[in-house]
Amino acid sequence: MNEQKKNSDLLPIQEDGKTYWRSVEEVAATEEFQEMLHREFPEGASELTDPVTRRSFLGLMGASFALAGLGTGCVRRPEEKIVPYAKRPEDLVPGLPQFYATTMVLGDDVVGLVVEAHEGRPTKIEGNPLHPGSAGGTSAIHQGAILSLYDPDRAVRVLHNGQESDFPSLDAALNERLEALHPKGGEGLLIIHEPSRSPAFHAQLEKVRRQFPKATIVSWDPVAHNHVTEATRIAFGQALEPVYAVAEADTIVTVEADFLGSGPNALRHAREWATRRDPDAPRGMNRLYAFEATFTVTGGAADHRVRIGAGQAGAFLRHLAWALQKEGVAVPAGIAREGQFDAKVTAALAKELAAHRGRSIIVAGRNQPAEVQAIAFALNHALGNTDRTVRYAPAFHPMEGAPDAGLRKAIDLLGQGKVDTVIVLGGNPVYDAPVDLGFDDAIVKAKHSFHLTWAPNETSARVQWVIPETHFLEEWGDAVAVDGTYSVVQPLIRPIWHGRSKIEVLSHIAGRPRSGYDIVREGFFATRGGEETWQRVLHDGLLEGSARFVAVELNASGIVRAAARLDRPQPQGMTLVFAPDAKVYDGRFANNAWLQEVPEPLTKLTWTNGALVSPATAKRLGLTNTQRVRVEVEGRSVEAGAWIQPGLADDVIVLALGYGRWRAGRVGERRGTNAYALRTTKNLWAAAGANLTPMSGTLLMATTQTHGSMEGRPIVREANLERYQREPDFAKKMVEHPPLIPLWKEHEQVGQQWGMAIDLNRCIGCNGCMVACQAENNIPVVGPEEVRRGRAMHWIRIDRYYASTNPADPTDLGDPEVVHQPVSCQHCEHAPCENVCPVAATVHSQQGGLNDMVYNRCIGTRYCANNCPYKVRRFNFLDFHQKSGMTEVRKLAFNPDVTVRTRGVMEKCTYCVQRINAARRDAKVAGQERVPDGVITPACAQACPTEAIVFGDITDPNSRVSKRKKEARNYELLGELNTKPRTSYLARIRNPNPELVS
Amino acid sequence: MSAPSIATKIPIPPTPPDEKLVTGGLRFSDVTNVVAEVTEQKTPRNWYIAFAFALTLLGVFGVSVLWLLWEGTGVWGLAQPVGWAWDITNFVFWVGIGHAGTLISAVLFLFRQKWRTSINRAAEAMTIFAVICALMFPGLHVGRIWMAYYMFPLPNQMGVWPNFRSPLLWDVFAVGTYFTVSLLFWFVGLIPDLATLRDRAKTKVRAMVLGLLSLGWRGSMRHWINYEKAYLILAGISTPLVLSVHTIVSFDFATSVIPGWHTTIFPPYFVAGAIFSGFAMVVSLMVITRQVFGMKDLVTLGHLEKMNIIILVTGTMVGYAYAMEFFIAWYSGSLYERYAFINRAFGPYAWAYWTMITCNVISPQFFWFKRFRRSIPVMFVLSIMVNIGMWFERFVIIVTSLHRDYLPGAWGYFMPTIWDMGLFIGSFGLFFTLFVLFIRFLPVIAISEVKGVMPEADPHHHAEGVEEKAPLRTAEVG
Repeated sequence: MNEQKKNSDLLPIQEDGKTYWRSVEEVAATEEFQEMLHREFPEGASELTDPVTRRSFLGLMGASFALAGLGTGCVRRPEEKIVPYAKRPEDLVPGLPQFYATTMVLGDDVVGLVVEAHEGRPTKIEGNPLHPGSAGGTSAIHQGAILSLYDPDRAVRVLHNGQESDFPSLDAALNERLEALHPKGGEGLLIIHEPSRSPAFHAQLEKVRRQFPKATIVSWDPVAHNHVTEATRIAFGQALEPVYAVAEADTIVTVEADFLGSGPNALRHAREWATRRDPDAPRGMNRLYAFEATFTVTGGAADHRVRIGAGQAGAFLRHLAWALQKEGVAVPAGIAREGQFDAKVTAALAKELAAHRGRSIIVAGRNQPAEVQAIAFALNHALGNTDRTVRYAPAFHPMEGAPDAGLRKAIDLLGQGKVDTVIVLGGNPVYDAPVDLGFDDAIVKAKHSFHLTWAPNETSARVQWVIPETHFLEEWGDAVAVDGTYSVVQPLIRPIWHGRSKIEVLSHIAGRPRSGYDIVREGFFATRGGEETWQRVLHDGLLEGSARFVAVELNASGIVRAAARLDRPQPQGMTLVFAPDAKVYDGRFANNAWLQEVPEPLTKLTWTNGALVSPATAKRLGLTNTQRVRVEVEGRSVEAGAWIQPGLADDVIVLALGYGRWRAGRVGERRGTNAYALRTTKNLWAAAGANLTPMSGTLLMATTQTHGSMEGRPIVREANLERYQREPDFAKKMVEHPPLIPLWKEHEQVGQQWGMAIDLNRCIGCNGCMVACQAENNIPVVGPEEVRRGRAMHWIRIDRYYASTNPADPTDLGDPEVVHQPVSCQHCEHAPCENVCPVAATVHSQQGGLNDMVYNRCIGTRYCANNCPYKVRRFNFLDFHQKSGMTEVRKLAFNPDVTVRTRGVMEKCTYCVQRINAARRDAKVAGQERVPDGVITPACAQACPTEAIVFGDITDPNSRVSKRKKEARNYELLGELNTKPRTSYLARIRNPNPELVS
Repeated sequence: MSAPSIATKIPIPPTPPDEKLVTGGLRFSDVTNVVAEVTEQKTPRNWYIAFAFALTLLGVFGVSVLWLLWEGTGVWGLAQPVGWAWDITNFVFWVGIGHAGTLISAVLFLFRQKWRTSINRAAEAMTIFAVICALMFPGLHVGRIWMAYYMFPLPNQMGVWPNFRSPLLWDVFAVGTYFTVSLLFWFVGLIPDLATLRDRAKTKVRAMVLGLLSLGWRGSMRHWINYEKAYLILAGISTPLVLSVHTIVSFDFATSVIPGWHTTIFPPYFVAGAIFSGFAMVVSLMVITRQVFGMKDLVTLGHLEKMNIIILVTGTMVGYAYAMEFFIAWYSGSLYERYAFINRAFGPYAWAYWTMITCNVISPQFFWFKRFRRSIPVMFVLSIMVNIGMWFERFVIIVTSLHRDYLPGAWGYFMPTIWDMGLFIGSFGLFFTLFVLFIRFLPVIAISEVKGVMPEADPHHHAEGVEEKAPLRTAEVG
């Protein structure tokens, strides 16, 4: 009994009463069970030749019971067994999803989520509306996380020197090292971890420190290790996190900051920013100025986007300080200095800021040097924004010293041979450490090495022991957002591969292995509250009112000294800028096919990164898109594909991080260019003196959009605020057409009629909707070759158009404006697709008025797609689900409410008809005649951080969608074709500074 | 009284010797021999060579079809936004080719154009084979071919009918009808000749097979009367089909909303184009056939010249349609229409557009000159060019309209794969195989009809070289 107890303590998760999956695994070890399994599930079990999928099949039988009707691409439908629960868990009705609140942490960004699970199988991630970091929205990365959970290339078992091993052997090996190191106080023990926002993690780390006082514990993260706390230390003398109240700001100035698109609270920023984009809102529209060398999502949304040279952020802010000073704003003397910037813009901006004291925000990018960010804090302070639009929360376990200080120390120790045992908790330093540190060579000098990781990566290949880590949907944990809000990470599923979480491994190292649940719960009870609070936290996903802000006092002299440090000569040559990727982030999502395939918001590139250059630079160097180039800096070089990005500063090369992985799995390897190969400790975010040499040949760079001009067509309709106020229905007037007469009898409409309104004023093109739709609707990925052909399957796409701001030359895209337009099936009432289908596979539903697609009836003539003026229909040309390597475990990610389509079938947006039907069913059960407004939210609308997409009943004049459609800005895309689309658009209104409108 | 042939009513100026419908002083028996011997003699070596060539191409077709069915339509270059490209191009191309056969056999029959008799059989066969080739494409291009029967209005337990609003369904009916009527028409025309072959058969098996096929034809007056009536009725049914089939095929495009497709000129323009390409195909084939089988006296330069005139006329009509499309695009004031046509001529597919213009509009203009109309090499090259041009016409209409329609964000570019090409080239294999089998085993020329237009068929005909016109004229006038 005692022995058993001890063993079970070592096991990763042991909860009361929930052991049914584990027992399957135990039984599976016996021969009889294997045989029984073969007998009982003949086609499934016998076909599983891949050991990975075999194991997954055994481990997941319990969850896969619900998976009926998955096509295999054959003519014959596969036979499937549906097995009912012998004992149904109390709170589970088969077929009805369950929802749990949890939290996803990415760098400093803590986002509360609500995850949908079917029979214990998480299938869809949504934002938690209660959580300040999410406000209900999600980004593409959050949406894609579900696919990573079921990634067949995850760390599925313990590996020892590349060979399959098991947890008992691992524990024995680890315990042996720990016991050997303990008497020396942990000398020779090195722990490298990703920075964590989890109190439980830090509590366990503290225990490890107590157990091994002489151990070296360092952290590294290629993106989250930025200069924010350093900047607050300069500005305020303490480690802080700025928290922006964007909704309160009338004027927002970003300097090299993508505060709507990435980084902590980006979703919240976007949500709050969007609430002030309604031109009729009582407080009026806000105005966004973006000053940047790169082209960010924020820049695309800005009213004024001004290009500044790379490395000019500090000079610009000093120039702005100078302009503010002239407007009578008391900026700390000494930081103001006139620079070479557009005087007209800065003068107007300064005037505006001075007039909106306490109602503006100036944000400098988190990657900018600390001095630059400190000036931004000082300007906010001078403008009276502190405590109003900008508040400061205590930094959570801030990094000490330079971003690479810890890693440098670790490498020194490794190099001196002083490391007996290195334990890498998560992360991938072999791939993403600054290249000049030589981490790759250093780590192998440790005598013993362990790597806890949820997917074997480049670092795993360099260590002796690989420990499967839990995905965040499998583990207990907690997290503190930048504003201090405490939220809980709770598992949706037992660890599929029996992995361990970071806190469990730490507790093991600290000598007392515990389950993650116990650790988190105890930590909570010790510091935050009792059982009742805990239950509420589990339900809400967060502890309400846990945000903390502190008063600050500006250290003016410190900032002035810091500003002086910026007085460096402007480097010559081109500047290479590193940017975290909008899709694969720092590379960790490289094996996530959804994220690989979603087009980057501005370049629309998929599956790769490009060496982005401005049109003028491309012209100077004679570059064309996809051309092979060599990017050189400090004697190191990589090959990349050139991509011309309108709006980039000249002589800047932007290279996104996270590509060029060489050990990532079947999806992510050898995609694009590894920017880390050029990234050094000195040049973490930008490297001056870079060189770009054109080479012969081209690279496969698949883009989903090949044409960026609207060709003068009234597609995205926009106007300045001033014109809107003069002529609110300008959008409707942009097209003249003869009276529209229907060819056929109108469809009869029964019951509620569904419609959608998309506010182009809110859309920032972030891609959240695209991946949300992919996850909800079981949309396959097709791969780069097929994307290049034009076969991407996304049901909703975001068209991105550039417009020249040069009135003399409309083809000059040096400094363009950009607009985004999400386009999915418009559910036309006079649908051109319905007329032409010979077999009536796409028809109008009476109930709801949807344009339905009957997959079973479709024979795939593609006539409907040809005749769709919006080109939103997607054809499954090659059975893409099978082609993309369907495994048993990957199938668990499917939404059981949506048919998995096979090859040869047309598919398209259904307005998430499965959600409509579920809501109608629930309403009927509840005795309601109509589904109340807001109950049905399609996946795209639900994910949208800015609430640009609104869905509802258009026969109800009080529904949100009806109200939007009544707005003067509302227009129907290609309405002159008399398609009568159910989706309409609200024209984009720009709010430029009147002084800057020529 | 039953109408005697037109020649007996209207004074005909003396025709130059080579303008005779049958030259070389052939008699009735000579005509029978020339045509029938082709099917009776030992198979010539050249035929085997031709057959092997055709079979090879048919093999390409087979492989292309198998791979297509195994992998899916993704083996082609299709994508969004170009959901149709070579598949439907080939379909319209082959249907168009078929048209000349029906026109020659039915319309010219009704208009009593006697010169048709020497080519109508081959042209009808060509129609049938071309329609078979054409039908392959809409059948194969669907994503789930095993469900293609949904296209037919079959009663079923689901209670679902096809969508009668869909032009694609109209196509099924139009092309299906066309194929059935053409086959019947061809077969009825074959009956007397099959009986002739039966009577000449040397072996019992041959006699039996031909006996079955000739449906007991004995050549009695009653047979002839019934036959002539049936033939006339079928000609009457076929005639509107010449217009209707391609009209309906053009509806696939004309009823859509896509700029470049949505055009009311399409029905006449497609019909003219079909006749244009069909005649070009007949010229190509007959130039070869008459050479190979020594039928220069039956298929004379005069016949070929007449076909070349039709090519010139229809080609010019097609050229007019091209011009009119541009005019209407401009005149409509529609932004999208205008762009579609400018893009056609100057966009990424301009090369295809100008190929089409060169082949279809410029090349037939040579036929204004009699010298070229009667030159075998010139007409052969031009007829091939016309067919290339007409293939490109369909390609241009389908692909350039689709690849850039309304929303520039959804624009794309179509690139064919080897499987697109394989299936197209292979379809010629199917066509040639059928045609080569036809010329070997069936009478290539309608024996009975040719005889009917020879002077000897005239009851007043006495002997060769005797001036017969004066008495006839007086008789009729009187």
